[in-house]
Amino acid sequence: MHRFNLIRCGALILLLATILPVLGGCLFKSREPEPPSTSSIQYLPRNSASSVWENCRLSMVNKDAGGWDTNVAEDFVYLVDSEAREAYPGAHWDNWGKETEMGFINNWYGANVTIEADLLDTEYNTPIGDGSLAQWDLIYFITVSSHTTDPPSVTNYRGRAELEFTLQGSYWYLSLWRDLNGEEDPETGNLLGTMGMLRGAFRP
Amino acid sequence: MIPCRSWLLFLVLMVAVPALAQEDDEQRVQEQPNGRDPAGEGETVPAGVAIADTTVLENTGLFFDCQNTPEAGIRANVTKLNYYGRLTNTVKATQNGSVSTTFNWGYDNFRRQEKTVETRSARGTYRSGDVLPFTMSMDAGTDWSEDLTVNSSGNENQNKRKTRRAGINASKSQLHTGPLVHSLNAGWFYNDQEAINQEQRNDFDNGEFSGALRSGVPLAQGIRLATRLYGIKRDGNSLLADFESPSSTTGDTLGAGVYYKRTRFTGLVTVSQASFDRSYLDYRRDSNGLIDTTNLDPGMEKVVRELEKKDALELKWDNTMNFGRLKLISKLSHKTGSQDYAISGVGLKEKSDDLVDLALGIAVSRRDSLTVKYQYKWGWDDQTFSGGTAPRGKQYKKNRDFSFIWDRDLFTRTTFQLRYNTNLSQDIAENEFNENDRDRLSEDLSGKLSGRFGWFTTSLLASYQNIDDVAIRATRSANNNSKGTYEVAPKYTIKFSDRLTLNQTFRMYIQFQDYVYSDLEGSSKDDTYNKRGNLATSVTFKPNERLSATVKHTYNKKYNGNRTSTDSAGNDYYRKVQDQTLNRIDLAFSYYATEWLTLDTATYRTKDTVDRFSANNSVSERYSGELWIGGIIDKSWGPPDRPLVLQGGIKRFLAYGPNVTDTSSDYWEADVLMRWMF
Repeated sequence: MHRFNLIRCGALILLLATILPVLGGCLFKSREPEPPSTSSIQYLPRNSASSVWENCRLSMVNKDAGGWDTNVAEDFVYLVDSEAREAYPGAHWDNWGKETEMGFINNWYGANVTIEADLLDTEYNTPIGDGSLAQWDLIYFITVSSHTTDPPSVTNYRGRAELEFTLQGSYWYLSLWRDLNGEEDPETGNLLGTMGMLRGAFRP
Repeated sequence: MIPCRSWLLFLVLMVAVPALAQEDDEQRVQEQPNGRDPAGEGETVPAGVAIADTTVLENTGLFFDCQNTPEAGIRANVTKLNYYGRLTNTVKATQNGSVSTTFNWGYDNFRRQEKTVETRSARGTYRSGDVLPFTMSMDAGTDWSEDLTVNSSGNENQNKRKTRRAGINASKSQLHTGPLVHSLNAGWFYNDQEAINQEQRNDFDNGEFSGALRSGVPLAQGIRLATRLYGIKRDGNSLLADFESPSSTTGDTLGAGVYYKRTRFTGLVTVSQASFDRSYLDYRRDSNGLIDTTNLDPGMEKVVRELEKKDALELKWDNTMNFGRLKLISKLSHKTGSQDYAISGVGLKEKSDDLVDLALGIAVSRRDSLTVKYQYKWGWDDQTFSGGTAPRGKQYKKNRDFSFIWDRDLFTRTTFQLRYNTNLSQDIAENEFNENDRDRLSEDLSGKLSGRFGWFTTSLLASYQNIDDVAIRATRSANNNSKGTYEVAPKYTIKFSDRLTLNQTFRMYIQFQDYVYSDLEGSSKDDTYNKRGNLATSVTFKPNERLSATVKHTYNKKYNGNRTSTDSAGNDYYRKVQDQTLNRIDLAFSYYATEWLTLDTATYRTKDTVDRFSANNSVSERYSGELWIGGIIDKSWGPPDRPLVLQGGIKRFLAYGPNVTDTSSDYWEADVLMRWMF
């Protein structure tokens, strides 16, 4: 019994020693933000697939990683097209989940680039969904201007993708992005890469 | 380098040797007088049977026990149809040697896009076994693929690739010099590729030599030192989009570690260093590593001869301390690396990652156990652009995670678990070289009471979660918000008998999202709430040993609202903006027809009703459903050592609803394989 009491006392002391600094906010305290100097990004309530997709566009053009984080599901999966897989064989394409996706977004948004995005360039099938799942088929068009050179180097991406949006808890999320193939630049006729190329270049 | 003909000859030999070996053995059997078996046991064997049945051949020759395994199958799902075939041939050789050949063919036809992929490969391997004082293997193989994709404009792109690899590998283990034990490995290979994509060639051929030495020595009882040294060198030529150039790769890895296992301590301390130099043809890339062949100055070539250097260093210490009721697992690591490009705009990239991971488990008493975990990961990456004089600035990533789990047996058959987790992840840009500094702080507290009383099991979960999303810079902070979630989820299962089980789960959930600066001018974000109730009831019924039926009903109710005002006492008032009801019924049957056949079918139907409250109220109702019918087969014919096997599952899907397209309204899902061994 005496030994049990010692162990219990030891456990209690250890528990207090570890929990108190945590609860006291010594280790787990977020930084104080600067008051906003701009108006807020007008994200839509995530009550439909189309709102989530529009929020993804807003996140891109504003380079707001928080917006992407909020609209992409925790069990998000990205499936790369064969061209991008071949172009970036070192990327972890076979287990590209939320963590990798956010690493890519942080790298991409953190680079000295501006982004223009038309995520509904061509809509093949963008249904409202059956209440908890919406499966989309579309072509997106993204322009990335890199300002590390003068003049900036501009690269276009146009790809056909299948998307899945799911209702999880109370909100809709983007849960699957499957790039099918690159599409042609409507102006030049050149075959462009998908966002898999961007993901490969800015992979964490 | 081996000329192409040489390795082709090698491949032909790999294929031919098993067949020749089989012929030799068959001839030997035929030469036995009166069709007697070669072992001379006196049993009369009809000559025709002995020739067909290779398993009775003697196994004392150079090659014996030839086994052929042809396979063919089909895989189908909503995205593609895949046909495949494989022929494997293995022959045992004297003194544990072996010769094997494998041929593969595959054809993919994609259902949702105009795309086909055909693949073929052939591979031959000879392993020497114990014939030589060391182990030797000879390999030769070729892979071929053709991907034809038609885009939405109707233009087809061909992505075709053919690779060949042949060579020899030798290894020797258990080499002793005093107390040291070594293993040696050396290999020489020839690689060749011919590829074309978007009408641009991408070819190379090279010779490769690699060597590895591993050594180990016991330092004391339960403590061992191990080292490894690896080197590789490739030299050859490459061709990219009509540009031709020599290419080379040089790499080495050096590692050492101490591994220990004493009474109370188990673990390892390791250090490893690797470096790689590559010279190759590549398209010109910008500072982000993106191919940039459209923004070139006049006279600049789109293809460059790149020189890439990579270095990496890793230090690691893993330790487990075990003191009876107390166990501490700790992991510490430090990694650094750099990647330097001579031509690409990327320039020099450097990175560093550190980890502290501690887990403490205490069995406080027979009724209580406690687990405390703490993890801290921090790292940075930096970049000096090509032609730049100063680094861009470090991008830091820090992540702290703490969790605590307390398990306690409250009464007989009743347990309680308390979990707490908090996590802080931070993105920090040195000298504010970008505006993306961001913190995410989450806290999760839950308690779960579980009871198990024979035929009745139940649990009650209550949890609270809070997530703060904090953008630090003024240009990003307008959307900072905090999300608080409360959840209660009771559930029970009643097992009326072995044939009838009832399960019911209820989940009630509410989340508030408060925007930190929603009251500031320029911010029109409304604070919101989301409520959701979910009731799932399922009944499983097994009227007999063969049939199983499951009926499930799921009811979901969801409300969304926006904050309209706050009174002087601080009470918030919300306006409901959406009300959604989801009803779903699932029905599934499974019938065990025979030992090798099970039949399954399932269906569901969903009704989704949404009321939207605004200046123009609207109500929408949508129905969807699916039915599938299928079976699982696992059947074999013939003797156990030479079976013909049929395995697989097949389902036909019929679906309707707003998501359903032409390709998903009626399709087959199958994974069927037929294999024969002889």
